[in-house]
Amino acid sequence: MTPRQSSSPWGSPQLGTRAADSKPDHARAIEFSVHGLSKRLPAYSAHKRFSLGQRIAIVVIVAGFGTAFAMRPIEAGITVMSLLMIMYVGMVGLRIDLAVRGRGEQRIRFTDEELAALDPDLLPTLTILVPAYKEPHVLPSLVRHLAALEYPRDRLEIKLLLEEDDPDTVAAAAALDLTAPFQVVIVPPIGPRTKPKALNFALVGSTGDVVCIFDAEDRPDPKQLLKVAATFAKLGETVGCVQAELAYYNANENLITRWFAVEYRMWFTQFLPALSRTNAAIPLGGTSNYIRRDLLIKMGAWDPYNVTEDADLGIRLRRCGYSVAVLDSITYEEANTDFVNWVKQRSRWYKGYLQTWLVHMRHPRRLIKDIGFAAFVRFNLFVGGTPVLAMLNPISWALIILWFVLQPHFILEIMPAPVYYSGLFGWLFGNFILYYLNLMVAYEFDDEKVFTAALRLPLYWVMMAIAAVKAMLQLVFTPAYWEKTQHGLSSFAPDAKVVPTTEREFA
Amino acid sequence: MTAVLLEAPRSVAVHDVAAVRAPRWPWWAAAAAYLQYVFVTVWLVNVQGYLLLDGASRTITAEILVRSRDPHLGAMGFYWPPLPMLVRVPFVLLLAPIHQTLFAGAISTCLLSALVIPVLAAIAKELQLSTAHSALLIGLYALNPVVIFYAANGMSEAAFSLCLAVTFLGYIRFSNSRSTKDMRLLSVGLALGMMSRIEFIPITFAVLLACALLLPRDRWKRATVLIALPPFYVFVLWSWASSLLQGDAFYWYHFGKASGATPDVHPWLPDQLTPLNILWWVLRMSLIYAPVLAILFLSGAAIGVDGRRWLGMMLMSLVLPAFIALQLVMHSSVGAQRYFSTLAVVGVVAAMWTLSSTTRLTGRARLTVNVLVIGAVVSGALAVVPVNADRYQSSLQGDSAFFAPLLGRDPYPYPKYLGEMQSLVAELDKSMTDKQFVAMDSRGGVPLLFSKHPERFILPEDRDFEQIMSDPEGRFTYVLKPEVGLDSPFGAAINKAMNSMQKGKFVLIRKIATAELWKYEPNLEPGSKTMGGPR
Repeated sequence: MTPRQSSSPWGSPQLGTRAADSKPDHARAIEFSVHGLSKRLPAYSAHKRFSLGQRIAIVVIVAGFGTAFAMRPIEAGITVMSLLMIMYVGMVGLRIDLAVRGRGEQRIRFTDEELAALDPDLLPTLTILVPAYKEPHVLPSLVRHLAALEYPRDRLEIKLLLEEDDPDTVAAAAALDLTAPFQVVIVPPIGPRTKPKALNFALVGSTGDVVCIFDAEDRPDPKQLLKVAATFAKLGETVGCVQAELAYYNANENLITRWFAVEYRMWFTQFLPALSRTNAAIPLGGTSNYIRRDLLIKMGAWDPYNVTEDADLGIRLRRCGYSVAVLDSITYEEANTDFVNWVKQRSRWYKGYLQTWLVHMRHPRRLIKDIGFAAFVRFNLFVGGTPVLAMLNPISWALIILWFVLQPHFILEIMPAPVYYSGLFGWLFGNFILYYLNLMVAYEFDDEKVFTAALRLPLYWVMMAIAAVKAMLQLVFTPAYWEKTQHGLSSFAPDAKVVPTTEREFA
Repeated sequence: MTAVLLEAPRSVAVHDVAAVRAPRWPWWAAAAAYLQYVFVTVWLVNVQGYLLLDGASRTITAEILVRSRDPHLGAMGFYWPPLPMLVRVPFVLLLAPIHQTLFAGAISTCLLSALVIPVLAAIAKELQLSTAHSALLIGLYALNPVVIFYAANGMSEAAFSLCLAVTFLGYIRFSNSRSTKDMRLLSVGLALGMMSRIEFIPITFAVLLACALLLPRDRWKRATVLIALPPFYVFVLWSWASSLLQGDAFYWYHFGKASGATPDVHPWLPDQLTPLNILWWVLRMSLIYAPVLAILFLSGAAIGVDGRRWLGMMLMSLVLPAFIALQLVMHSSVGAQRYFSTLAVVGVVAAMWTLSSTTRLTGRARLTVNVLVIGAVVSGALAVVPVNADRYQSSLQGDSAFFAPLLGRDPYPYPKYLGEMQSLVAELDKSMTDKQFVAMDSRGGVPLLFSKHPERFILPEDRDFEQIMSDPEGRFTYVLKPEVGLDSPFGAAINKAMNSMQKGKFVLIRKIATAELWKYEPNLEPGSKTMGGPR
């Protein structure tokens, strides 16, 4: 079944085919899903890692520093340390700034009465895309939770995107005997085997005014779709995307999930609202982001070569002059419970952030023109800075330990007073303040175990450093390789009691 | 590339929450107070010739941190909490081009004192006091002579008062909201306070107890960690630095112990330092500086305010005098009157809280409470004047330079570091050539504040001081001894260096009441006794 055509103010620009089932024009869909962005707007695609200008810049920088180190090693060392310290202090400073500015109450909120007052005829039609790969066991729970979403069924389509070479999941979907608004879309195993390619493929046959992504293990707030519609209605045309909060239903499963839950809460309740408030470019979260379909198509949709296509899309939205509203509505996901699996997932994220940074920094002046200087700085410190900070942390710790243990003379030489003091300040206070702000977030869970885990958070930073190094290596050797995160490892049932994350304040 | 850009609205505001604008009058009041404090500073220095050495020493340290021959953080020594020194660094840099770094300390403390006003206004707002009450109490605070004096003299009381006010604001907000945001404010106040004065050690414990009274048991432990962690971290860093530089993590405690109070040297104290005498003296002094504390105490029993909050306020208000008493009992403090001066801010907060807690009273009862509270604040501001004009106190620190004229009296004699010393340093600056250096044997010597060339001083704080003294030939031309008569290892090291010169000899070229200036004469035979050798 297809959503009925809207008589609402929402236009429904279509992309090629209007096929309303799971059999769109295959050739066209494949072409769009693989090359939609890279052919139409190659400058925005991560298909090529580096632009010509970036290649030249890398060669010049490497050769320049190589020569400098050979001829004037101390001066070259001072320059490198100065640059690293500026980056470090800037990145830590921005995070502190965002954490202090960001408050849960800055998210968009609606009461039940406001939602009940929405006119059903003016609601946008919605397409929900749910890619699933080798996850047959999560489908029943997924379908149950999606079916619980409160939204007029004639304005909703839900597409399960399954891969042709994944017979188990396809069979599991068939066994569920799905009816409207569910549809199954079989994605051909062509081109980059990435989630964004699957999303693009399904987008071709989609008709909703607004398109949303969920992961297979997601459990969205049942009223989330209504809240999204209300947000678009309330904030008007300036908003290109609505991002809901992501949290974990198995937050309290083990040490890693507790750390992960604290980090996510910081991200979605403080960093993103603060970025939104400061008109910065927002790297979208992986799921539960609702984008106007017309914008999505005009922007070339998701980049199949970028392994954090969500983050990239957020930056492109901002470059087009649209903002992202952060909604106070939670989608529960499954947190990674396993160290190796976590490193795989995190290194993919870091690699994607680096890809995104490289793509948008191909023409820095244009980026400044598009988003403004302040947002440009924040973009560099936040999107480029997230993986770089994770990599710089162990370097800074190693230098500090080396200094206190051996006091080698070269450290003294390459760190003149301004560099030394900024590094010392960043290390002593920046790290502590970030640690402390994370503890604040952990306190809001009102759970002893989560709080105790957060006290050991620096160990989590070590894990981040490992993932960041892996990401850097992958960026060089396997840039478009999508390292699949394995879901369903949690021993917590998807309906298990979650750690409360909605109350900031305790009466 | 820009082809992708759509014709889209450029306005990207997504929040329609109307910001509630805070009233501006507290900031105007703060600006006015700041001007008043700066005026008093200028009057004290230029008219009264008054320079409080304790306050100046922090400015000198700030000057060494950024303008000396060897600027480095370790020069601070970390004997005492570092904030009062660090806050004046920007002012030193600002005033250096016009050679007025002497005022850097006082101007920074004027600013910190003025900033207490918006914080007090925020407390009043949180307590839902009327604008009239709020303005009256804040006005009484800003005009309190003790507040003016400690704003204008460059001491650490200003930073302490600001941190204390922020801590009170955090606590009062937290007691209303229990929110993490207010807990954060509370811990920021405590952490900055810990960087200001050691009194924040007991204040932190008092705050933790006060907060524990507000929270259920299961949440109390976590809240304690969150509130205590920042001040604890600051304390650890400070102690660590002190340990690295002084070899003693608790220098502040051992110093206090070594210079503990004795009534014959510190005549303002009771004749016999028995615990009972100390308690009585501390109680008396507390009630002189903040008589409103008595009303706060009585309000709990007489008016029946919220018991837990009242107990919290009492804990936070009385911890300061309790700590002074404890230090005296342990002989680890001189019990200076200035320790009570920060009760001025405690008193105003207590007054605000008491007025706020009694809003349910009506008619005559309410009027009585109003008169009592405001009368107590006024009487506290008046009572401090004769106490601080007392010669015993002024004989030590020259406080009467400010307080005695308020009573129409002449100040008692106090040490003068201005005048002669300024002229000596001016002479030194004039006679020094570009390649000449002057060695000074005193840590934090006042001459550094007057010199246009602090980078030409070889100081005990320098990392190569010992190395220069062990091989002094040709390294410095002048020696300045600003505290003649005070024995110090640095003085001994310089004397030894002066006597070890082989190609010439140091001769005394100028002597004033407290200082001597020596110059190296290369043509004089070493060991010549014509001008007298250094001690």
